[in-house]
Amino acid sequence: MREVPPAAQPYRHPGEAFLARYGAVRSEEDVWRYVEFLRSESGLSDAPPIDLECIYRHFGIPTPLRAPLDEQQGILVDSRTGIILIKENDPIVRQRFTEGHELMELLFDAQEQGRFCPNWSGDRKERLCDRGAADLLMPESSFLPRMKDLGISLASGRSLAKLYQTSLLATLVRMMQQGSGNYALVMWHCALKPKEVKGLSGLSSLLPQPQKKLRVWWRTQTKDWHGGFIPKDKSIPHNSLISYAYVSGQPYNGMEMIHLGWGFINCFVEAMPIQIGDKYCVLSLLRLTEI
Amino acid sequence: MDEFALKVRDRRRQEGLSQQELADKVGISRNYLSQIERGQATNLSWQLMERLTSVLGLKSDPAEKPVESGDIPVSLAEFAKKAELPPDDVIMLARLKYRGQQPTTPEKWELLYNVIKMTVGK
Repeated sequence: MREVPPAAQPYRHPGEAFLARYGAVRSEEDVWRYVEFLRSESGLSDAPPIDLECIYRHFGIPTPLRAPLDEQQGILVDSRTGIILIKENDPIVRQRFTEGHELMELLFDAQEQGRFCPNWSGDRKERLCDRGAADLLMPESSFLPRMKDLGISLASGRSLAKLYQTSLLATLVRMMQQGSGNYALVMWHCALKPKEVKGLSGLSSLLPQPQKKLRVWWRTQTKDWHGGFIPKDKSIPHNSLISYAYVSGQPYNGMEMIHLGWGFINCFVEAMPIQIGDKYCVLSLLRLTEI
Repeated sequence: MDEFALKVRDRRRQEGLSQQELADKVGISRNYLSQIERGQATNLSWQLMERLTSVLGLKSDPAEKPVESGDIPVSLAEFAKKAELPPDDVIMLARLKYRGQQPTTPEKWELLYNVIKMTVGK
């Protein structure tokens, strides 16, 4: 016999509900407590995959609407009714992460209405919303033991992503946040140096134009990374496994000495081509093998 | 001293209330209010904050809160003027919270406005 679904609850702003119980947000720890509040209030455990529908049902939040958004992954349209839009063309796993992000936005929305915001910049709030979404979908208490069992690699990232219904990228970033050991996750894209971009407008069209190279776009690493500073925009030579992955469209792995400007590091490299929006990139996981 | 402490103290003085009078209105001791104003009591309950902001007029209903012209991006103002948007819709657009980019041109605002209208009938 089919179970009768529970009656829809009237909408209750989850951010306001949290503030009513715990008081104003004053530190990042309070933000993580809100994540736990969302799950526990909705009767969710830390077992994957986290069912966001339970949270919507518990707080009477309308299921987020899919919309043909262009430059936005998600929008909190009206916090008084809980209307959220999600970009319909994004992969489902990315949509889930965006939903998590918007649930975090509701905390800051409640906080702003009360006018007791800590002096956090917009960028910091965005980072906290992303971090909160990761916490919500990949709870530390269940994620960390699984990651320890599997170890840190692209393959274990894929396994965990499948289990938690998150994107490979979000899962690997979470692994860097939670993991230990000498690991760095580096995204490479084909670009000019910022100095070259600035100089472009002043260059005569008769002069040779600078060539784009495969460069560090962004990077994140484990707390224990001892490989030193990875400079943004640092290029990688053509004979690197990372360049091979870019050119061939195939994954590569192996040992490699990587030049980071200030010196070389010896790493085990896993490199895979990846499409980010309309951008073709290479994602690399570096494991330092000697200092 | 934190921002909230300053706001409470300044507004109380503007309103010509003594600490005792304000403390009585919100149902706390004068001593506790004094600690709040000096930033020494930081773990205030949400309910107490609500009472303080309500009594001192520091809080407005977000639906009633006017959006100041500085809060409206130039490109949105351009679109709103051209499309003769109702003020409520301009406020709705100005208050959206995004994951991703805020529209940067009147045309992009128009696209987004149409998507929202089409999807949620706003």
